[in-house]
Amino acid sequence: MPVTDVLYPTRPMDCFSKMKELRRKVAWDTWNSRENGRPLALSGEVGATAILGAFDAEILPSMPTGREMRDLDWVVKLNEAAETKGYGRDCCATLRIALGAHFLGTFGLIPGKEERLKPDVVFSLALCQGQMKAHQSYADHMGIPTTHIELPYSHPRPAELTDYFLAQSHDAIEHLEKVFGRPCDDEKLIEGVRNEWRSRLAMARIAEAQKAVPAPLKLKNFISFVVFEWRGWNHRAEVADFYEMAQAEVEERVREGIAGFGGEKVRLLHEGVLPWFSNQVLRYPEKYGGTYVASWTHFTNSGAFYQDEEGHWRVPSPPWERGLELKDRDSALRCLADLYLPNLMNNFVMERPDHRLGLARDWNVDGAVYALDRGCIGMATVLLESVILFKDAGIPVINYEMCCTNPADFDEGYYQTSIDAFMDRWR
Amino acid sequence: MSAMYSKFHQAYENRHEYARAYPGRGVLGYMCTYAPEEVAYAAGLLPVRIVGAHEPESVTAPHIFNMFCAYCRDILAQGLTGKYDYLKGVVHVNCCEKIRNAYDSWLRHVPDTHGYYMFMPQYIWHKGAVAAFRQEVDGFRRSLEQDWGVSVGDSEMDRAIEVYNENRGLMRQVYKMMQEDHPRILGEELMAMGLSNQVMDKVDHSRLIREFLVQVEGRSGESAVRTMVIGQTDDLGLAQLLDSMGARVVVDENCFGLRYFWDQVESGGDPLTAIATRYVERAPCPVKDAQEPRRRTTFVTDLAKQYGVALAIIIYPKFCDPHGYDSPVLTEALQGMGVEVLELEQDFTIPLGQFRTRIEATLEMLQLEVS
Ligand code: SF4
Ligand code: SF4
Repeated sequence: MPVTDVLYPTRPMDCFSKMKELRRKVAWDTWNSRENGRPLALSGEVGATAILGAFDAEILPSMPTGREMRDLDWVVKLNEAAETKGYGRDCCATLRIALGAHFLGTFGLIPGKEERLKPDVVFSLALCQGQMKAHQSYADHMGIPTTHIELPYSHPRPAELTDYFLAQSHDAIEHLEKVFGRPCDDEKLIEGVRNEWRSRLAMARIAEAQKAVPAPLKLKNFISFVVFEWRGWNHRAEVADFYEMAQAEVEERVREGIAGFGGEKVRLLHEGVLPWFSNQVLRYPEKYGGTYVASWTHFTNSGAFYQDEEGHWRVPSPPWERGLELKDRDSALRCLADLYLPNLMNNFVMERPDHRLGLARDWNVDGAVYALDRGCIGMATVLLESVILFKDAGIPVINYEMCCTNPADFDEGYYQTSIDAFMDRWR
Repeated sequence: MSAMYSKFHQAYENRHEYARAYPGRGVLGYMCTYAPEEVAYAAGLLPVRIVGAHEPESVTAPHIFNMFCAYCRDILAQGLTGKYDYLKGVVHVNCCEKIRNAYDSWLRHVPDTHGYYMFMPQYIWHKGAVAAFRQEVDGFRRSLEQDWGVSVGDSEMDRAIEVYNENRGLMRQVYKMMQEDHPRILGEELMAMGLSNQVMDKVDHSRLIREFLVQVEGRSGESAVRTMVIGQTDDLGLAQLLDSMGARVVVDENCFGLRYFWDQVESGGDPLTAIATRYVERAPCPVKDAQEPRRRTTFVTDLAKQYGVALAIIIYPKFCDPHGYDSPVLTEALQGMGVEVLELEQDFTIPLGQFRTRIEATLEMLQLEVS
């Protein structure tokens, strides 16, 4: 086993304890939503949750919980439950295990109680068609309505579809007013939109800080921040405040030369979703001095970026710095459109290979590892075209197959052997 | 029953020769039936559906992950191996992620491809969906004008709408006949009519339908287990198999059949709005039917009632998730109305032997229930 040299100082992130506290608080708010007289939406992933915030609604995440992702026996049971009901392996693996939890009656189970939370509505800012179909099945199963806002992808003229985004958003608000039986508070909407912007900008800046050598964070730590976005809490003031605090700490680490991984010799890009049940995948290259510093999947999921004409990744400036006013419902929704339509790279499926190449260059990546996920169709789309582009550009790349939520579909030994061979070139 | 009418079948088999000899401005391929073909036709181009060859292939592995559906890999294989080298361009309207991968890879690796991409709302009930799609259809019209130096005005579009609507009307006439107690048309003929429709000029296809209708007039019908094919299949093997086993496809809800032609464009008024409305409001595919209340379930069960269906076969390509999500819901709804349901999965080719055994077992059960 190769010995890793310590090249850079490391230290734990101070803000992690704050993050844990905040996670507990928002989860607690969700579990107590009914007692607190709050409406409840099944939602999460992607964004536009400021719209829910305008109703004081709490969010029960549609994604499975960490407990469900990590408990291998439980994951197998959830998969089986979905399969028994006819939802086969073709369906999105992440949302399928959530579906399994619906069928087993454990979805939304309040910790320590026998009671389950029943949301009033399924709400999503929809991006992937698998997500849309899975959300439809949840709504069916729970007998509740759906309200979705679709992110139009029109190559190459996204801005032209702003009107469609706005029409849907106004429509969604009207629908939610009926479902929740209360009016939309436009002041809270404005505040929520501002916070969504702040959260995404701070995450983009944290991602940008990863360009430094050594990178201030391990990718694993970066991903742990993404939880608030996944769970649909980016519109909350305390979440935006937390992200800005984390950004300040990460930038300070860069100034002081503090590393996420002290043995950083080879900077790697990990692409695609991770096998959630394995803690070791991201750590494994460390024994060769390799560390994952960047990921298109996670950077674009959580931050706001666009690619300039030379192919560099840029962070947009917030609307209030560009003279766009946030003064009423329509202007708030326009600022949401202004955030998601041009800056959610995730949505530009056919540009992904070029985005990834730009990322590899801007973040000084030495090599890339691609996870071909049998369970996440959304992220696996055009992934192999990126592999071709990387090879053409002379960036070493390998891929491995797995299913992000099905341990039976992941051969960890094979992954490790591939990494052993891959890292050999930098010895 | 008189001999089978095989011209639809032949037209489908000879689709590449037909397209190569097409006398118009050229041929435009499309991958998804949400492509507003009328606009391309109005520009003097022949829109044809890109279809698979149902043969094992070895060229798509570097481009499309092997857990993506066989259909999108099969069509990409046709592009990469030059089967569609006569196309002037490829048009794609967003539907599922997998086929978007096929489109993207096609643009990257099939030389000299003009690509036309359009956004098409997935939440088709939303306020603004028609307006958004109209904008995209108009963008497509303008791109065609610019790329091929043609003018696509309202009169050209009205004429195209007329040709397409006439064809749709004739197709409906044939489907209406399938409601007879003893259908005079074979399932294979019905499916071949649908398939050939997607690769021919509608004027030629309508001529064939008229000829077919005359021939059918003199036929006597037969009783058979009334069967509905649901999902996505472009392989005639299944209909042939059913015909040979005493089951008859009397109706379908197939992307290569009824879903493609069922709805007309309302003529009169702004043709772009009329076209956009038709595509947004047409019989939905599972990708587009993603909201509550579901439209597709009602559409399928209504058809099953109208056509007195006893057996429904849900068939779609392996690794197709949109169909995978709908299948349990459709099964439950159909079973709830007393229809027997059989779910079959298709890869590059149809495993006929395996299908035969499963269909036989189901038919035996049905006969028992009937007697
Ligand atoms: S992006 Fe992946 S994980 Fe998310 S809904 Fe789509 S397929 Fe599922
Ligand atoms: S809808 Fe299904 S069959 Fe069609 S391309 Fe997508 S995955 Fe394949």
